[in-house]
Amino acid sequence: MTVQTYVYAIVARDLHLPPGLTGLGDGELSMAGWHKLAAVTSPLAAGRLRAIPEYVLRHGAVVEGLQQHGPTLPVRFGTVVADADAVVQVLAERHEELAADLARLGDKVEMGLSILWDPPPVDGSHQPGDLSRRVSGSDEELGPGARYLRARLAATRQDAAVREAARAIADEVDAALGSDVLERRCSVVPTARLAVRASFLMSPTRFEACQHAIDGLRRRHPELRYLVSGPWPPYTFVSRDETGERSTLSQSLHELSRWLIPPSMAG
Amino acid sequence: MTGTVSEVREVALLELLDRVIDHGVVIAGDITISVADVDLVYLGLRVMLTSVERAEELRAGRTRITTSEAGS
Repeated sequence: MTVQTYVYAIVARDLHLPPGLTGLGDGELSMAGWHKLAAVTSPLAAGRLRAIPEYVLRHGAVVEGLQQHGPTLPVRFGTVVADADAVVQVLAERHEELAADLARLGDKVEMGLSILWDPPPVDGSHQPGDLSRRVSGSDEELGPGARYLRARLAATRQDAAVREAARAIADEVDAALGSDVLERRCSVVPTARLAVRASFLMSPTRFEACQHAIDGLRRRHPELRYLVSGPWPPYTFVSRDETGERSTLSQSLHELSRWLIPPSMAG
Repeated sequence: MTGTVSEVREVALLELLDRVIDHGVVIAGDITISVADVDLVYLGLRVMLTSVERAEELRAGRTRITTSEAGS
């Protein structure tokens, strides 16, 4: 049976692995190091990687367990390489980038925030001086092109107004969290029901203060729902490797989707 | 109570999924996260949002990973 190497995180080479922590399938953790960095790995039989809740949660638990013992750079779930030599090769090739990320992020955490709303109703068809005024007349009097443009204009206006309202909510969060936040990733209106979806990088000592700041926003805006999660390892803030080749986990992810998605939605 | 723990765990898992599948250091490749041409994270988000409807009752609930939701 071929045994491969599953990778959880990048740490400083002098980090001691915490006792009692095991990897996927209870595999023993070990370190593959190069220069000042090491990757934390465990053996995994080829073809045994499955995107099941047990494995996803174990991946997260290993990364968080490491983070409690020292600076940790989380690796994406599902990273399997041929052997320890392949891990060392990656560490050697990307040592400067990974070392910089570890120094920047290793002792930080991220907070997840989703803000749900009932999107504000916006009527964009009666703005002064706009195309809808200049293209006067009822829909019946207009040609199909003008009707199309009028509809597009109204939709665009509505979208812009909704996004502007969501940005105002995001700005208020930024103001409330203030200098506690070191970096942020934010998207507005990623779905109709989500006004804001964001991740904030911070020192772990500031996480509780940020939670309290969000509590203040909750009291100020009972019409909104604030979903806070964390503290997480800083998954969202690591540098992206745009050159990586793609592998596929679609089949095993399908197993996970069946677990997650109620039959009424899956259909 | 078992149902409550299960629901909190589900929301926490979805938040975890959003991170570990779509973010983190990429070594030796990226991961295709589509399921039948649909983004899994998006699917997860849909489930999370429906779960949030029920999670209003779970505001005081905690797992190892804190998940909380605002509401009246």
